[in-house]
Parts: sequence; structure tokens; C-alpha cells
Amino acid sequence: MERRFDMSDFEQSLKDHADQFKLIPSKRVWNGIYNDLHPGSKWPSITVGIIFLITLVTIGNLNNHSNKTVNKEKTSFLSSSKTELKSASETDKSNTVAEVNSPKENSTKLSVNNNSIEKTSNSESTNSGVSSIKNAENNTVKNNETESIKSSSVNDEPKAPTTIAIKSPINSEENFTLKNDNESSNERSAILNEAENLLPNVSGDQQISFNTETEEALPSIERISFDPRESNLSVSENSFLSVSENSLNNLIRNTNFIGQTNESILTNLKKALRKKNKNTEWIFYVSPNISTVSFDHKTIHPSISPNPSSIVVLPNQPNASVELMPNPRIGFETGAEIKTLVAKNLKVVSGFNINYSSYNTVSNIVHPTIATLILTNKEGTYTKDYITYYGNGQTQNHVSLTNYNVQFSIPVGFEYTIWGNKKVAINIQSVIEPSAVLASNAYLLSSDGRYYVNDPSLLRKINLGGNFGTFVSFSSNKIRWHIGPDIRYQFLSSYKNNYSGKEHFMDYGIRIGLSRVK
Amino acid sequence: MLQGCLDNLSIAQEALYNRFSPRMLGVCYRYAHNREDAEDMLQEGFIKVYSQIHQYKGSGALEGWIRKIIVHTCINILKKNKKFSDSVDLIHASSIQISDNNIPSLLQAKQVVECIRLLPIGYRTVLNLYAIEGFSHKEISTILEIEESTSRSQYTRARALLEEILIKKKILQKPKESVRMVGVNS
Repeated sequence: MERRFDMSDFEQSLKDHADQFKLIPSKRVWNGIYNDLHPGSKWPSITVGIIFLITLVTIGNLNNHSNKTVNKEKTSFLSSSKTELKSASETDKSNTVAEVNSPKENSTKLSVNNNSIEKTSNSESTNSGVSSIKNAENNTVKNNETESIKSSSVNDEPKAPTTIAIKSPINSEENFTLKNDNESSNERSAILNEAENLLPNVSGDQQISFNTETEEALPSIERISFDPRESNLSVSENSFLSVSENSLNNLIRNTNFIGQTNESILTNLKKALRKKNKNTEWIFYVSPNISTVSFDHKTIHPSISPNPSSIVVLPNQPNASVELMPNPRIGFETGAEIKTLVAKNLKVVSGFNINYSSYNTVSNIVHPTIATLILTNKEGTYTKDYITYYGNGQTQNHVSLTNYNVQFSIPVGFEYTIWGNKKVAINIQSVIEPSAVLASNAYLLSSDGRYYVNDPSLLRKINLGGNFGTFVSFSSNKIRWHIGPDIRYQFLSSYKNNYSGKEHFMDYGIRIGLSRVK
Repeated sequence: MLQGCLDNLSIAQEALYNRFSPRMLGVCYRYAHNREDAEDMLQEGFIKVYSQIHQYKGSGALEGWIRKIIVHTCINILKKNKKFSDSVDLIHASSIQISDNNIPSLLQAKQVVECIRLLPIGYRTVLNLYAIEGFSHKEISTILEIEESTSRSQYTRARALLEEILIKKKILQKPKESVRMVGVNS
């Protein structure tokens, strides 16, 4: 429509024409306005980024411990008494050792290979059981025979059949000692000598880990097998509120809502959003803590003493006890929780988190020694031997062994507001946390309490924990803080039921959480 | 929509923004040096609108209230950036006769606005505030912290210059001088 610029009414004409002029602003203008009005939407992204960063740093540190090189300086401590076992292995490395015993006695089977010695024995009274024999060339032979096999003496000619008999009656209440009789001790010396020759040479102060599962001598104390892909983290970068609003915004755009006012639509949407958003709250938190452990239900109190000790009962020996020296370490937990108001002061809590707990044990380096674990399965009790370099003690030549657990948990529980209002409140929270163990390591005390052995196959992959805490919630600008102490206790032992020893992590810390003010 | 803005609901805030931002950006464009500056003014203005939305009592149109905030924001930004120090070469336009006879012509809003933007910043601001926004010279003197007489003279010069620009751009035809016929008694 043509409009006349009326000079008699210059101002009115100018105003009319100026008011007709419109420009569509670019998207950055609204983005800038939105970010200024709703700064809280940045926090989920920042928190997720922090969680990811901490996870990467943890993985990097744990992996670095497994890359220590082995010193090839040779050490020997056993007298090199030649046995047919040694000569047999020299002449024929594919020899396997089959063990024989009388039907009424427990049989013990030995095998020697290049890197490990594993001995399992079965104490079934009927002599039924399974024993495994591993060939020096990594051929595994499983012998399910229950009948006795004729035994031959150790003192045969070097090229005689290589069979060795070791009698090791095993009682559930009886220690398995290294010295059953002279014959056994001689045989053990022979085995140790052979092992010494076959294993990588290390110096006294080297830290060596021995993995009987993979039959490799690993030149490190800690082995990491943490695969972040196994974790089930799926964190949305947007809060619950903004996700809902974004979907609604798309709906509005698709219906050509821009520039038009539909009060009824907005009112209905507003009511639905308001009702939903008021009842739920997302909280992102970090909880640094001091990580300790309890054994066999005996609590170890956190101590600043450099060598705190605790008396624990040996597995399978209620009347015997040894002294352990665990040191608490710094741990942390981080995650996100969603809280839904179900009653006046009661909220249901859920979410997810990652927890790292660990402690150190002081150990003295010993010469390679056979240590035994007494384990149980459905069929009864059996023993498992390991070569270890770690003794339970503290000498000048000592190291710290780290037991740790990285768990991904889904907490479920309740939060109750004791006192407060919208601005300041005091709450208590209690949750149960089923968790998946993403990475773990543990040094288990041997049955005689004198050594530590490492066997990852005895560690649980699923666990259950509980978390209890109190915290103060207060608002500052557009952010709500939640700060207070909390305690986490691992209900199930870190070890499987095969191992009778029990280890429960306990974390004492302070939780710092953030949420958006509504 | 207003209640949603009071409740800090982003969906209501965006609806308000979508409704009024095109016209308000046009307002900012008349004050700003370029489009980017205009968008900055618009952004800052709307942030003030949302932060002061609780002060709107409902008397008068919401658009007028928002427009007032936007204009004040534009002025504050210009003052902060000291844009009024530009010197001006004046073309005294008092010789242009303003006749009562108007020549109708096709005028585009955009062309008029672009012509306004050709004015020096000081003239442009006074012209915008007086002729378009409807402020009095007394109010303009308070806003811009100048004398009232300065505001009047600035506006007269701005109007004359704008007319000359409109004529030169052929948006406005130069009015013919009116001829007064002297009545003769026969």
C-alpha cells in the first residue's frame, strides 16, 4: 500500500514509516538472551565434562603402573639341588607331571611350565575331584580320574618317569604348611629351584607381580583391565526441564506459532511443565572421601599413623589371627541424582555414580615363595598355590600394595527433609547402590597369614553398597547447593565366596552437589 | 505469556521475544551504527525487559512498555560508547519550503529508515526520540544530558537534513513553491 509522506505532518509520517520497518534478528541474539536468563543449563555439560576428565585421568594413572620394566639382575636363593624334575624339564620341556596318590589319601597334582607353577588339590574324602595339569608347552590336560595312580619315587633316575608324589592331607581346620615331610620339602625345593630358573630374574627391591591365571610373570604390581566401554554411562547434557522445553519448542515451531499468541496453548503447556518440573530435581555432585576397609567384620578406624595396624582373623582359622597394616587412601565418588517429591518432605532418589575406593597394605619383599589359598566351591574345599614376592610384614625393603575398586552404581533410596524452607533446608538421605565393578585389584592374605597373593579371578564383578548422608541445601543466585558429610559402605565382600576372607570398603567423605533453582 | 515470563519459563520468554523482536530490532537499527550493533542493543534490551517484567503493571500496551526499555537501552549504549562526539557538517535546510501541498509518492519504510541512518548520530538520535518515539524536548534533554535548546536546534537541523536526503534519494519530490495570488478588485 502506498503511503504518502505527508510533509504537513512530518513527524507522523516519519513515525508511520519507521514503525512499518521490521528486521528478523539472528539466532545468536536469542541464544545470548537465553544463556543469560538460564545459566544453570550449562552445569550438566560442565559436570559431565568433569566426570569424563576424572575418569580419563584415573585410567591413565592406573595404566601407568603396569608399565614398569623388570630388572634382569639375577638372584638366587635356593640351593641348586638337581632333581629329576629339573633334568626332565631340560631334556623334555613338554613333560607333564601327573600326580599320584593312594585312593584314600588326597592327591596333589603339580605342573611346571615356563612361567608358573600351579598346584591344586582336592580334599574330597571319596577322592573324587578335578585336578588340572598344565603342560610346559601350554597344553592343558584335565584329569578327572578318581582312581589312584601308581606313584613313583622322586629319587628315580633323571630319565625315569617324572612323577612326584606329594601328600598333603587337607582339613578344613588345618593349616596347609609347606613342610609335611622331608620328601615334600625336597620336592618343593626342587620345584622352587626350577621356578627360579624359569622365572625372570629380579632384584630384591623390584616389584614383581605374578599372575597364575595367564601364566605370565608380570613386571608390575598392579594390573589394570578397565575398559570404559564397559560402563553404562549415558548422561544427557540437558536437564530434564530443558529437554522438555526443547521438544515443546519444536512442536510450537512446526505449528507456525512464531509471531502469534495463543494464550490457551501456552497456558496449558505452562501448567503441565510447572507441575512436572516442581516435583523433580537433578543434582550433580562430587564427593571426595577417605577410603578405608574392614576385614571380617572388624572395623579399621582411619588413622593418621603411618603404619596403622589391625588384628584380623585368618580365613578358615577362627582361632588364629594375624596383624595387617592397611593404610587408608583418598577416594572419590561423582555422579548425578534425580529426586522426585512423593510426599511433603519425602523424595525418592535415583541416579547413577562412579566410585573409586582403595587402600594400601604394607608388604615386605620376600624371595619367591609358594603361598597357598584355601578356597571352597560346591564340591568342597581345595587349595590353590601361587608364587609370590610379597610377605605380610614391614621391613626395610617394603612396598605398598594397593587394593582398589572402581564401581558404577545406580543408587535407589529416599531423602527426607528434617527442617527448612525453599531457601535453606537440612536433609538426610539413604540409598542402596547395586553396582558393577568396572576395575579392581586385590592382594589376598594367604591361608597362613604370611604372604599376599594376587588373583583377579577371586574378585567380584557385581557388588552392593549403601550410602547414608546428611546435607544442607541452600540457594545462591540461580544455583542450589547441597553440602554435607556422607558415608558409603560396601555390603558384599570384594572377594567371591570361594575365598573365605572378607573385605568391605568404607568411604567417609563430604558431598558437594549442585542443582538449578526453580 | 506474561505470567510465564514472570515464572521464568523459557518457552514463554521465547514467545514474547518472537512476537516483538522484529519490530524492536527495527527500532534499534535506527539508533545503531550497523546491524551487529543493533542486535547487541536488542539482546541487552530484552534481557532488561525480562529482568524488569515484574514492574509492568498492565497500564498501557506491552509493546509500548518494551519499546521504551529498548530505546533507553539503545541510548545508554550510545552514551557508553561516546557516539555523540561525531562532528557534523550542517547543511542548513531552512531554505527548503514546506508547503501544504504534498506530492504523493511511493515511500518504502526501509528506504526512510536507511535515510534516517544516514544522519549523523547526534541528529539521528534526537530525530528518533522526538519525531518517532514522541519524547518532548525536555525529556530528550534529560535523557541525553543536553540543554533543551540544543535538542530543539538539533531536531530542526536533523529534519531539514533528512528532507534534503529524501529529495536527493528521490524518495521525496522537492515541493514547488506555492504562488500566492493577490486578489485584484475590478
